[in-house]
Amino acid sequence: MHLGPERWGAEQADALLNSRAGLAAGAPALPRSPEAAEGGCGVLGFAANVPIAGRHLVTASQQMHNRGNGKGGGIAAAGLDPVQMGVSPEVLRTHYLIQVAYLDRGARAEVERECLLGRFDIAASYQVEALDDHRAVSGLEVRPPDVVRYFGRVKPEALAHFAEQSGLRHLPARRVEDEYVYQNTFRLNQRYYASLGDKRAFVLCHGRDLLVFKIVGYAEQAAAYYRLEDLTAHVWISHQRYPTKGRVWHPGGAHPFIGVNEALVHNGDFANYHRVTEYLSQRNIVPLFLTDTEVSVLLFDLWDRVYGYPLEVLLEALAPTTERDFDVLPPEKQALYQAIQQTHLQGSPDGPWFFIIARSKPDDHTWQLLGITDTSMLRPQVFAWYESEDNARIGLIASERQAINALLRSLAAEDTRFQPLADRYWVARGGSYTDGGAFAFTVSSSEDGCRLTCHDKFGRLVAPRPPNPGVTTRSDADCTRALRDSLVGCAGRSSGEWFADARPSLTMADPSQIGAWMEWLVGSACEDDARRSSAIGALTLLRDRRYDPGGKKRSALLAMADAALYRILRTVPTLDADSKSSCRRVDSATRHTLRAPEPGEETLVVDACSFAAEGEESAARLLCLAHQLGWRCFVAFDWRGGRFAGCGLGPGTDDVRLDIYGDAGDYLGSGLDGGHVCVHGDAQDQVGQILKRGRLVIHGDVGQTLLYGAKGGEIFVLGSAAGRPLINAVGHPRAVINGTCLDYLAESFMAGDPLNGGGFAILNGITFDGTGRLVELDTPYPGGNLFSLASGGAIYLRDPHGRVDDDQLNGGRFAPLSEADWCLIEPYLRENEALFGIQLADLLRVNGEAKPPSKVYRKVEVESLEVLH
Amino acid sequence: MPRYRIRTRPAPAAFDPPAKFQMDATDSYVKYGHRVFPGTSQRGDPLWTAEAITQIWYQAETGRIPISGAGYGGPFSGDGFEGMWLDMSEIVRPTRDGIHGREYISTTVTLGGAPEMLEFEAGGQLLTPMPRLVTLPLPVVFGPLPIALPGGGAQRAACLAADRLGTLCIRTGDALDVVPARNLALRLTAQDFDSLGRLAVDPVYVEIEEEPWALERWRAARERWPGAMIALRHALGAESPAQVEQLVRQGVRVFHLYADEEGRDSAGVPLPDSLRAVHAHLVRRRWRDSLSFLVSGGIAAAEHVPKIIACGADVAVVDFVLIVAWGCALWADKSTCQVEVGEIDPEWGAQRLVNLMAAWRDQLLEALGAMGMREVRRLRGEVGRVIFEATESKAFRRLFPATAPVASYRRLPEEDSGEGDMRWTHALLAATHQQARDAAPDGAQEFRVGGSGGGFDRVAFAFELTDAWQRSRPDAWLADPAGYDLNLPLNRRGDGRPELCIPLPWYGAGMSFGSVGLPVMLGRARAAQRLGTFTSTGEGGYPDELTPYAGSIITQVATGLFGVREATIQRARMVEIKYAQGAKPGLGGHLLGNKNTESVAQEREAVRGTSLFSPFPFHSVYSVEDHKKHVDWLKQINPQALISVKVSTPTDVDMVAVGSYFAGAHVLHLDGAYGGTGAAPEIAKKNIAMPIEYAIPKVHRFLEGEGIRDQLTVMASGGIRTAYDVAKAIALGADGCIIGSAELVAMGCTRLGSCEQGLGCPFGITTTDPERSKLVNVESACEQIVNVYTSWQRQLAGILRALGFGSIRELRGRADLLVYLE
Repeated sequence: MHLGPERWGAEQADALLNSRAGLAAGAPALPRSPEAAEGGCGVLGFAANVPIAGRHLVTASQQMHNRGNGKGGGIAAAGLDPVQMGVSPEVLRTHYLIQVAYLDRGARAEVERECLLGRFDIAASYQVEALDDHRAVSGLEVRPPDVVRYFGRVKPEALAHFAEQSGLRHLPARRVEDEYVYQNTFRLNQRYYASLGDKRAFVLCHGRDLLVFKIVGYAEQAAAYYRLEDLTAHVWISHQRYPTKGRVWHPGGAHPFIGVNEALVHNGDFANYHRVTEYLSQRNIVPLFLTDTEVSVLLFDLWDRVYGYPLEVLLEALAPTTERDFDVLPPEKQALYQAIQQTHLQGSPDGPWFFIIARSKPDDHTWQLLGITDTSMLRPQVFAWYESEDNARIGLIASERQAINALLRSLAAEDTRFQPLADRYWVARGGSYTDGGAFAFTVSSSEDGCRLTCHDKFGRLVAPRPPNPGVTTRSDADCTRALRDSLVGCAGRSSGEWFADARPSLTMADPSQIGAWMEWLVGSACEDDARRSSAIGALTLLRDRRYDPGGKKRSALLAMADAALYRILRTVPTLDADSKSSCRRVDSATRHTLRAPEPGEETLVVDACSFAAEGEESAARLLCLAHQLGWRCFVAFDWRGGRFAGCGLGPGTDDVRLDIYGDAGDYLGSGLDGGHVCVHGDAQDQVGQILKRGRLVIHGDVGQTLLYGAKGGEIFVLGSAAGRPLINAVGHPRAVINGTCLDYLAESFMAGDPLNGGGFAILNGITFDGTGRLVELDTPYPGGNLFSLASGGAIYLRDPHGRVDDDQLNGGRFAPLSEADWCLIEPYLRENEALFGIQLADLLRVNGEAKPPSKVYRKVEVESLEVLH
Repeated sequence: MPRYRIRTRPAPAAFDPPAKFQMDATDSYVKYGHRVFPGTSQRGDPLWTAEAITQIWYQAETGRIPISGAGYGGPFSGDGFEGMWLDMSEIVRPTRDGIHGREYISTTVTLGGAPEMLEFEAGGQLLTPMPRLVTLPLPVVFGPLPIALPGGGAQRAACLAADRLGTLCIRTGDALDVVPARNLALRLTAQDFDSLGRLAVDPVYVEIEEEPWALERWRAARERWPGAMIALRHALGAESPAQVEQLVRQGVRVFHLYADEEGRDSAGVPLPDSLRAVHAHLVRRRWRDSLSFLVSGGIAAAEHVPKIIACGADVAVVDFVLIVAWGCALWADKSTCQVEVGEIDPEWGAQRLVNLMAAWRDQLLEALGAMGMREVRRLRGEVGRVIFEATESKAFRRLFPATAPVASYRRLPEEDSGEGDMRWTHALLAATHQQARDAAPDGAQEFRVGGSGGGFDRVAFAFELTDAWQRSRPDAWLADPAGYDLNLPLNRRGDGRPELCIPLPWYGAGMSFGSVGLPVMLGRARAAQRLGTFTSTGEGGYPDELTPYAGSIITQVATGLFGVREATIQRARMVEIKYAQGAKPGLGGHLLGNKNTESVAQEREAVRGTSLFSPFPFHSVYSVEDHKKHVDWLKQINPQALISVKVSTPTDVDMVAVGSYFAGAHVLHLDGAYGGTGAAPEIAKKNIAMPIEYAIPKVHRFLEGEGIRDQLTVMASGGIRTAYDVAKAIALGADGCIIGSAELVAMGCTRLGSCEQGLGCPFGITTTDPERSKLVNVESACEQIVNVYTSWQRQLAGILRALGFGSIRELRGRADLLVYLE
């Protein structure tokens, strides 16, 4: 229990809430709806056991510019450096760090007189350093407020008086002091912000060891304006807001919002805002800023600080477990959850939401980063974990995977402990029996230093680095040479054959040997097109395939491969260079030199790193223009989250081939009508929307709504899909997903009769262990909705143990796999083998034993529903 | 718990519908707004309308939800339930796709209240004792029969049905020995209480009739049945908030609050308002979450359930609904009410109720889905998701400097054949048909307004009320359009995309291949080409036959993405993203299986003969940021196209508008709730989102306030029937209009509302049957549309002349030129 030894229960909670009766009474009537609608946002957070400077947040936030609109950005940091704060470690830990934003500079004296100086013993206070002119920050239009920082404790006599007056004498002093700070802020905000036509001042933060900044602008502009680049902290969160209220001149509505010792950012929107405010108002809690984010943190503060709920209870109150997820819980958990739901369901937010919370628990010497998704998983979210050999650890949460990678890239550029790719990425399943839809990264500090751990909703430790029982590296063997020789002698062989040869050396090589080999590769690749192409082929396989990395980290290998690959690709001659190479390179700076291919020129290499994410200046647009000029073969690398790759090429593009290296952004290949797009890594949301024809190969995971409304095409995914793959797909799309998906697979699938030219999806439900061996997931499909309301197509499930049951279906039924079915899918599994190296024979092996296909695969086919007629 | 499913089975009527109802042979029930009795305008009693009664019959018989084509034909107005619309979500708030269980939405409710918080032991064990609960899988409970019926059949049927549904059937003391029920629920009067003998089973729920000393009996009942939930009945009235609070202080936690059978409290206040007062009071007193309210009194239709819950009920209790389900026609046909004449078969009667509840639950799911909620319990008291006519109309009327009595508006002569509905009266249909022939109105029939008593029928130009206009001949009001600028620029962003401009301030609305047949699409496309305007493909794909008209065709991208390909996006000069449709806000498309013919299925690449549902919302768009990405995607595919965003009218429609502007849209298309449809559930047509006349000024003014009004073209649709409607919409703040139903009327539609059925449309307009669609001739359809639009141009020019304007753009936002007809 995190409550500490003191007794805390209804009586104490009630006392706290009752002490607010005056606050609630003075508040305006409950709002029927939030002041401005905002649905989408870019959220990012990370926690590390080493202090991280604010500048790293900047690049990552920039990567998600297009998730905000520059009308609200905010940052929070916890686990600060006392030296940078100008106070002693003791003061940082014990004193409330109050930051007041003065929209009206003239309000400062009054606010200090009325709300701060008389009530707090101030250990330090100063105006937060900022740029002289906000226009020095590119694009920042509205001058951010002056921020004054105060480190204070409530004056003992003020506290005693408050406790007496409010009937809180019997409560622990720190609890009363927290409440005093909360109420003081409420009154300040009400007086200087909410109740006035001219908003003059509000409190940005008031917890301990927790900082918040908010501006009208983008998050990274806040960092730039308030000079946070060099400020270090253990936990950071940032938010790009997209409010749909045009003229915003004050930042009060921007995220993060605060409880006491926590700051929350939110991506989503409540469907029951008024109802939640009613729930809160019955507990004397009223909103002042009229956004659903404020309400979210008020709920969190209520359940956490006032009710003292354990995190699991709090999370269940916030995101109640329902449906199948509830049914499969053990009975004692069901009883507990039922009580929680009965008590709090009406206060829980409906609608899509994703929260990231930064918390400070100074008395426990810990700081925490939480990511929580709603149970329908309607907002994008990715979690990641990285740890270095020397135990620097970082946990990350973001709306997009590419933002996580941008952050790691920024860290890696100046700190050798880090590298540009995480060890593990995952997506939370909301409200579920699998992971609970929430993860907490906890930094705890002790005399031995800082530790970072990750837990799920149920408090289970998430083993960040699976033990690697494989072969250890051997520095005595000359792996560099072996690798070099394998490639030199590979003329006339496929890269697949090379890989089979090189695999043992890749496993055994130590990092320096790999490095040396790559160094050689880069040099060799410059010599001619053939060598370059075989170097690229080798590095691509190194990236695409799953194998035993030996004692090395796979993520480190990938980072090395990427670096070498990008170096090689950057040696491709530019369009205006005098060269006989069949490859030409273009980048953002030279895009005006784009021209039609000349005879002998085949491949256009696009250095995608500094293009815009979308629009006329984007790399995706450049690909279309190049295609119009006659280019057909494209290699795009160092792709940094740009959207719409492969969109807009139009029909009749069967001869197009696009290879993407880097972080492919949303809507990849959406609309493709004939081409072949291959992503050497993970893809994000909306892959292959309305796909008509052609082929998509993803050497990793994909995000939400894969193949929404697709008509055809072939799609191979090495990893898993998030929610709602193949929704509303018609015609004859054919998909192989080797992992699993969160839920709602093939909803309203309408793809005819698969045995007669229609579409289908194969779900293999497998993953790879640390040595690259294929392992079965606990179930091929954990979701409660499979093939809902489908009227055509089929799902082929690799489910040899029959773990998926009828209750997961709504409109489909299980059927045995017929010979015709096997004839249909076998070629796709063979292709899957060729693309990903996943052996068909391995798929047909169950518990080590080879089985006939009909004992391994099950078919989900259409059941004629009455509503469909 | 496994998913809750209700098993329906046909339970055909054992009676004939009252002969005097004007129902067509193909009609399964009376559609909203249609004439009920031949030769009269009578609509029945304000609560138990012919629509409500016949729709209950239909649902009780089939278990299906009532679905029809065309738009809502009735008024959008009234008090109580009639003056409330449920909100829906789009773009800035997402919906849930709960139709037929596509996504799970829970309708489970629990009675019994809850503690304010939970307490845990140090070890994490729960300490708080939980109050006893009654959990019901749907928020409807059967009340005792409101009138005595012969024999025990009716009572038995109700109990059986409740048992099968898993809900309660409250019985009075004299109906105890009918059948055993798993969950015995009782209503006890003082008399019953004293005379009640030993019960065979203990009740789970007992409600004590409100009489003097009821509280004593409530206490006695708690002692007698400690395992049961004991509720108190309370008649709603002006003093209820304080009275209920008083009772709460005495310990009562469960209440059955009731209004009279017409849904009014003792002070005559409609039930929703009366209940809201109690709910809000108890929220203020911090009691509400520990209480449960069962509510009854005039709950007569599926839509009343979500509405009453949003006003603060936990559960709706139905009474007259039961006997109507068995065939009683109440006011309409009391004399032959068979339920009162003979004993009904319990098995049949139970199935009727089970069917009805299945249909009501499906409609509840649709309403919750449209609001974006996945738990009905979270709807309780959620007035933030309800639009109240009283609030909206107050703001609306403030726009007008003057009002005038309705009678001061001189209507032109009107004949009435019973054809049409209140919005499209017989006269308006006939006048439109006449304009389709003659390209000008002849003034022999009313051609400007309908008879709905709301919307644009309650608004007139001030000049229409002047003596000069009232005395003059209709054709004196026309003017030569050549002298007036009716041009409508579509791209005002200055973003380098083509500056498209059409010569009329309107273009054609989306109608899918599937909702209408190919000749209709071709006729509309040809007319658009001739007039230099546009028409939209709708969401059923882009048939090849339309390609010759590509310059005049908007490619629609709707939530089903049927038939949408890069090729069809790239060929369009404008791409329309359909987020929602005014006729069925919060619901996706719905093409019934029998209209999904070979060619339709081919175009959509779906399976022939199955119903096709488009989801709602776009599953790739759950936020305004996603929306921007979606717009960017289409811009990437077609760098030359303009982007139109079609939305319906939720309460935050202004936010949707501004969000769409920042997302990069060129055209914002507001589709109001009067809009037409190929097929839509009745509950959606009438009860979700707001009428267009409220939405237009809301959006116009908000965009003005944001300083971006002139960068966005705002188009209004959903009930724009005439040139006068167009002018009024523009005066309220739109730049132009989008026309759907009027084009079909030009082709001969008479608003039968049978568009959803396979061969239904006798004129071959909304059919996909290859033979029947031949009834529409492409060339004449084109001609008819061009004629009506030519007539409209002349009328519009006349209106500009009367106002002294040279350009239609001068009219925009000039609500001051209008008067509200009281």
